[in-house]
Amino acid sequence: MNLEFSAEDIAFRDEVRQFFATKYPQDVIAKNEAFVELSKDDYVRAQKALHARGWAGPNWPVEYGGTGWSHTQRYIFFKEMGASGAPWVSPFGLMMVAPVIYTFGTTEQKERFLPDILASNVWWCQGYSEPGAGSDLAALRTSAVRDGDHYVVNGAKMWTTYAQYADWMFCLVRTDASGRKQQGITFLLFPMDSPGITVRPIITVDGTHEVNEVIFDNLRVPVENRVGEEGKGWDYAKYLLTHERTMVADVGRSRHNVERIKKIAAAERTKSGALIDDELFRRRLVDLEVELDALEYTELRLLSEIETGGAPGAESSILKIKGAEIQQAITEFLLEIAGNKALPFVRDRMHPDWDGAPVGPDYAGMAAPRYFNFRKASIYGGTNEIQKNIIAKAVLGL
Amino acid sequence: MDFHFTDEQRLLRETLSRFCQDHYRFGVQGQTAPRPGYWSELAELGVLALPFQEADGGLGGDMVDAMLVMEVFGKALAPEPYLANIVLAGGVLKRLSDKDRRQALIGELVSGEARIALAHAEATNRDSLSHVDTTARREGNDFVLNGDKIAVLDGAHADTFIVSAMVKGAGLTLFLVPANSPGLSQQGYEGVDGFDTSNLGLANVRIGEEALLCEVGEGLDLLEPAIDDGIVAIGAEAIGIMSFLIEATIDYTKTRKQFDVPISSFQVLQHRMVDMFIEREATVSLLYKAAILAGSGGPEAAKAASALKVHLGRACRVVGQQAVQLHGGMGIADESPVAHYFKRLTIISQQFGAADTHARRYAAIDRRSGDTSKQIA
Ligand SMILES: Cc1cc2nc3c(=O)[nH]c(=O)nc-3n(C[C@H](O)[C@H](O)[C@H](O)COP(=O)(O)OP(=O)(O)OC[C@H]3O[C@@H](n4cnc5c(N)ncnc54)[C@H](O)[C@@H]3O)c2cc1C
Repeated sequence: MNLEFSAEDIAFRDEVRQFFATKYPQDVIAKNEAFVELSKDDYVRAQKALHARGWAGPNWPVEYGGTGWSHTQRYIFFKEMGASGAPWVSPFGLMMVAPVIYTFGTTEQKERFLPDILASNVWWCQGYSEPGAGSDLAALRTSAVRDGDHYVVNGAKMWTTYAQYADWMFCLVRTDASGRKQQGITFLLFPMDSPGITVRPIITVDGTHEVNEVIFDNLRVPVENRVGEEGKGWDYAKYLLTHERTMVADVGRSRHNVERIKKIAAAERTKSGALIDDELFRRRLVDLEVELDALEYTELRLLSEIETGGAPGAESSILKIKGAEIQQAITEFLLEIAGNKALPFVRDRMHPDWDGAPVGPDYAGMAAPRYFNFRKASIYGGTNEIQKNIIAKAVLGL
Repeated sequence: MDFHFTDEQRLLRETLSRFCQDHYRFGVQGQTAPRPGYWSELAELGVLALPFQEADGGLGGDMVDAMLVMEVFGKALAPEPYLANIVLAGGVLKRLSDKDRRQALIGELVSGEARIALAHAEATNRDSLSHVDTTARREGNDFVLNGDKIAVLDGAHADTFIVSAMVKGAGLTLFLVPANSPGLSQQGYEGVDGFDTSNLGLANVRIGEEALLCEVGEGLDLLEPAIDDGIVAIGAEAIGIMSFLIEATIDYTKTRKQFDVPISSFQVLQHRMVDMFIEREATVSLLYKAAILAGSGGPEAAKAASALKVHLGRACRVVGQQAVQLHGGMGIADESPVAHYFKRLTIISQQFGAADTHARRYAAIDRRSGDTSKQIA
């Protein structure tokens, strides 16, 4: 057992660090650090910078333009990315639909879709959840009926992140309602500007527009846009879920944000000095850091398991649960530090085009909306309750 | 010992609940600013006069009555400035020793004519009661005020402010400052909790000696109990909000089906709702204690207010977060009422100081006065 990374890993780390400090769009980092909502263009420019460096597909096989990194290198990459203050990569194309296409798609589909995904030329969104199918995803009812060379799709998707930016959607639809509900689900791809698609914004509690309802009214999708076999969509979706887990812990970003909290708390005065030196406050902050240490080493343990040939099991649900709790705790600290200064709500404050006057310090104005918004972390991608059900069943055998 | 409400109090609660149902159906009025007409209606109903002595033009009620009002407002998420005007400003004014002045100011307040806001909090002065950075410099018979105030509740609608400032050599002092005073500027905004709030700038605001609300340096004696009244009021508002959130969550989980069953049938969610309920019950208990003691002054009242605030730190978080979590995505959609109750409850948990501040105050009072709660029980 040892805690050291190899010399190559360390060299790699420095290279990644260097890249984010120089070659990556610094204005995007600055915006992200100010907690301002990023525009589509910000995301795309940032991802194109990664692509230019050959780093857009850390999880992809080399033959399709992937990096060929080891799991450790991927870990280092994402950690450094978080630590640099860079935003998330929009995961829907690069991390979600691409693995399904390169694993289950036809040669034509691979040639048609993968290069544009890698280059961030096309923005994808994920059409899984529906009004009646959240945790119970297999209960989805959006129907696709075969009509010659097409499927005719009717129904509604819900909570679709950035559907308003998306050029394409990957979507689970029901082609057969007769058997078990996990059967009869099919995986379709279609452009968002097809006739019969309506995108309705859902504004979240913090006043931002991240999610949408997407309604299909006799949308026609060519059969050639189906991935894999009809009725096997559930298997592909499950395969994808195991691929989603690499970033869920988000340790690098949380570590970075904890350091920011410390700086902000050091500048915040109390009756007897700096808030950071207040014993009650500091004690709770240490608790958070200890949790983060535990999460980081849990992730490393899982990683070393994978490196030596093991499979990432349901243990990765721990990463999702603790990762979400820690992200949420960080927003709670920020709100508490801001105190009364968190009170002003400027509705468009988060919007990229906003140029109004601030009512308080930058971080304080964003503290409450962020806290409200991050309640999502324990809801999306499988709620914390569902993750615990998975551990109970698959790990503890209950 | 009797924890029951009188017939009068029950009647008041019913009348006010009906008033709220008629006026603030969520989604119709949403979180919009209070309607000016409502405030005078509330004055006519006697709600504004309720917690003041009859001799001062009030109805002879106390903080227990104010608590009833705030609970009803909380449940309706009514953005009326009862806390700002009646509880905080009123809390300072009802403790003025000058009888004529007290009666005159309270009279204006309860008729709904005057809107008076308390300007104490400052960006540089975290939750401190006894110290502010705003100064009041004596010049002949006048005072000249300089400083910046934040989080002034209902500030944008106030015609008068109660401003706390330090007088050199004497300490914290309270002044009555007209909103149209030269040198006074305001930046109004909607609070994240939906309440109209403002920041106040005081640049060489000159006021006469008549602006003094207390002896120079004795401001804390008025301010501290008024803020403790405020804690009782938001504790009661929190109860109303928690009741709404618990009911809404129970209703939602009973109707929301996943895996072919109502999600309320999952025991883990049942326990979560039980946790919310237990937090609410503990809050009610601490609230009653603080409300009953509020009139008495003295360390027990202060300690009970801090106890309530320490508990609110946790209870607001548990109830608010779980209400959202159990609604899934719906919990964070702006169109869902739950999201808005959650926001106000979040702000309550840190209004007038978060849990740490009050844990420290509780311990300090306890150390000074011995365990006085034993004498009461
Ligand atoms: C910000 C955000 C972005 C999203 N982006 C996307 C997206 O891009 N694409 C997409 O397809 N979806 C997206 N989602 C949807 C997300 O996956 C669902 O919200 C999630 O699966 C939960 O479903 P639900 O909201 O319907 O809640 P429900 O499933 O109705 O759950 C309500 C509550 O019941 C609990 N519960 C449910 N079943 C059980 C059980 N068996 N045992 C114990 N407790 C249970 C849940 O944990 C939760 O607390 C997004 C959601 C959010 C909030």
